Amino acid sequence: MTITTLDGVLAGMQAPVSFNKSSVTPLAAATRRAYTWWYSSGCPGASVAPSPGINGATCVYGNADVLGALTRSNPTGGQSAYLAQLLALPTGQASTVLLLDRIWHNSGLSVTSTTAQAITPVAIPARDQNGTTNGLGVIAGVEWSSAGGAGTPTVTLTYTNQAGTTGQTATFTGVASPPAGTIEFFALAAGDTGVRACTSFIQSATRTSGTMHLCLYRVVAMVGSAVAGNAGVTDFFTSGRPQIYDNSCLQLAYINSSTTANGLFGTYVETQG
Amino acid sequence: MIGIGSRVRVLAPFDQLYPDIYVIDGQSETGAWQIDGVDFAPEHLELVE
Repeated sequence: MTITTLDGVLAGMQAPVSFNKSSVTPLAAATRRAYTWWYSSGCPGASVAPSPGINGATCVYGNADVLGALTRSNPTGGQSAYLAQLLALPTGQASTVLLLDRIWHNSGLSVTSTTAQAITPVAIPARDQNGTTNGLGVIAGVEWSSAGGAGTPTVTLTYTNQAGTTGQTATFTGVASPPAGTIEFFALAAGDTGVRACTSFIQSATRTSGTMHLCLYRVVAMVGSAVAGNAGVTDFFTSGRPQIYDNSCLQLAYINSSTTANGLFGTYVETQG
Repeated sequence: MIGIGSRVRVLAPFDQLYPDIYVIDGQSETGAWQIDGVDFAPEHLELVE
């Protein structure tokens, strides 16, 4: 079913879920770089570093490797779930908070290797922009669960795009000494709008140390706060009614504007119908 | 032998971002050669005579 009326939004409103997370201190603001509270203490508590191996695992709410996900329940009786409200109050700096669905993650990537690291991934769950496994709107990033070291290589990901085309390549230039929680997003090949599967990973030079994970996410919603300590809010309408698919692992991250440590308070509300 | 000032070609797959001939302008603390602050291990570079 689909919610199509304001009455439907109100009737399906679930109890608000509050969250608070301890600070993550970012590096200088840069394009396609974010910082996640996934590994920060608070409520929900810190998530563990994923350990499924290089071929990765799909992220399923409730599993032991996604304990940092926001609390939620799948709708029943053929109903669908949508974002009803996201209120986010970054404590340390003006920043834009991202609500992500963590779709797939891996472990076991060598941070020092400069040769190709092959990946044979399982299919992503049906949680892309359209609720399918095609990968439309699914973005890829390297997420650091423990701080990285020196080294600023070019990083190249070979992937299958949203249309099923294999052998596409995405890139970013690594930042030196990324703190735990850093996410470096890949720029996709021209014309691509999503990632279905990651198949190979290579760095032009070492990152020296740290622990990194290749992750796939869908951006569910974003909310900006122009002043530290002030809340930003988006709802069913202003967010464009994004659907929250079954088993979604909702993760919070932010785009920074300064290098000030940044914590988070807020609430998440879902409507189902 | 590659060194600072060497003219190099960047090898695949990194040649998509670096398709031209470049001059090595630094060396990182990890020992990698740098082009505009980006690190490259020697095996990803080819010296241009």
